[in-house]
Amino acid sequence: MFTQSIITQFFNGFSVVAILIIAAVGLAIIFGVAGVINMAHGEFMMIGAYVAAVVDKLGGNTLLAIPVSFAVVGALGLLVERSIIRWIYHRPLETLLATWGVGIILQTIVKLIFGPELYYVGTPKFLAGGFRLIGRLPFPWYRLFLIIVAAALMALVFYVIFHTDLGLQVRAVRRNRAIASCLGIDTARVDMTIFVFGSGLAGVAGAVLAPIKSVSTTMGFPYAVDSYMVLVLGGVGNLWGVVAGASLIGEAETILSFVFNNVIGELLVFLFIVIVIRIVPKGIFGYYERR
Amino acid sequence: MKLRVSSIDTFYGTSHILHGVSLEVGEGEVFAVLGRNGAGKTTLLRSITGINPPRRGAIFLDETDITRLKPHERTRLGVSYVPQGREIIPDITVAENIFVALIGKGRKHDKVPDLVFEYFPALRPLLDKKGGVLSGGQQQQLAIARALVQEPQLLLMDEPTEGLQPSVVEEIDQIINRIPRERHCTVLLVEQNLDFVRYVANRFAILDTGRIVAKGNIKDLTEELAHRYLVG
Repeated sequence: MFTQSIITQFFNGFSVVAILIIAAVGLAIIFGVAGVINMAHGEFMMIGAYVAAVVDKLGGNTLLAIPVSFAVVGALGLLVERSIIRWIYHRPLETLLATWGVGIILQTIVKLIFGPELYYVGTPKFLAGGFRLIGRLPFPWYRLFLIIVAAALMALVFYVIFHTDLGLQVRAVRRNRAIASCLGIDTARVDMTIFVFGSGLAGVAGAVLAPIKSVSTTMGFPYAVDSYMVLVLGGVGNLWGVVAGASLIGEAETILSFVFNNVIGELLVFLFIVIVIRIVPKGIFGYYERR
Repeated sequence: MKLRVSSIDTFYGTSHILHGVSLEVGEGEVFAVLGRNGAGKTTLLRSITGINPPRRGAIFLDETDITRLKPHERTRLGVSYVPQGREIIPDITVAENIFVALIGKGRKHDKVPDLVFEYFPALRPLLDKKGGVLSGGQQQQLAIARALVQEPQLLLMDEPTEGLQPSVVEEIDQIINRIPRERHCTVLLVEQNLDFVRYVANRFAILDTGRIVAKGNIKDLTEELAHRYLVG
């Protein structure tokens, strides 16, 4: 019975892993390519969730909210990049502070527009209810949908990085910015495009997470913290780092929380991360960049 | 394409590397810049590419002032660069290294141009290999090929034979010798090997602690000059 429950938890963990991947992937490519730690990442997700709430009010569902949130938050990313970030690339402390400030401003603006009350977004009708896993524990369809979304987002990002001209430029710029620039690559444009793309992905994250969480101005913060943990553990040298970090954290947290309790589970995961980065400071898939 | 460098001062952080360096390279010339290690040769090339733009002075391509342009804008105007140490991008393939150069120039890049194999047939079987696994000689061939596919009007080369085996050096030397005639480009070459410079270059300049101390026709590159500024 205990083993069976552990197996069930393992499957439950998949959806937690999926949520972590969805939340972290936008942050990962912005950090990995442009070197910017976007402290407003949680707020970008939050805005994606509010967009989903608006779409929901207007009668649309999550499937419609995904592209709309991508576009709206991508446009927001473009605005932030052009007005602020582009002046302070490669100055980590300044980008940290500036994006943190952006996050605060965004929270305030959203609070002014939507007020302090919580919004709820329904799951799409065709994803209501669930099915039974082994052990006959219920597994909601929406969790399966999140797993599919996570896989699709990873596939999209892999496709963009490894099968498009933009991706080739990204790989060249990441490895050797000066030489890529001498080969004719407009590195500032690559940075901007990736910032917009990563922001759009944060928007998608907000849109698909909205139905499992009440939408509020502060909802993004815990997801952002989880995303930073995923990156620290997985490393940013490789997209597999996101998958590895999310998988380890997601599964460990789910199973440990089941065996012990939430608090101890989380504590053990933190301890695990500390030990891992003590051994590999750049994370599991980290690499040492040559400038 | 003509290059005119007009009394530039270039810094690395707070260290002043180039002091009022001026030179002119005429259309179709092969111009060699010589000097000891640390004389500022690489910095001069990096000033012209825009990686290390000068703080004072100006750089012109024909009549266009490029002093304030970004590296990629200079590339689009016709400047290509074979950097010191080759700087192949290691984790993309040989073909992709060439595609990056083509994309940078806004060219079609569905296949590796035949031009590459015309000069470097040895690269053909390596197209799908990662740049990082190539030998030094192969990387140098790729670095030159990457520049040639951009059909440069001004080709900058930084010690293209440094650290290579003697047999490979000879092969590369011969190809570099063919480039200006066959590709119709102006070449600015940084080199330590005097024999090679005498073989390929029309004119030369000697840099010493960031200043030009001698320049002229290649036949004026006397043993006495070489001894004073280059040896020891």
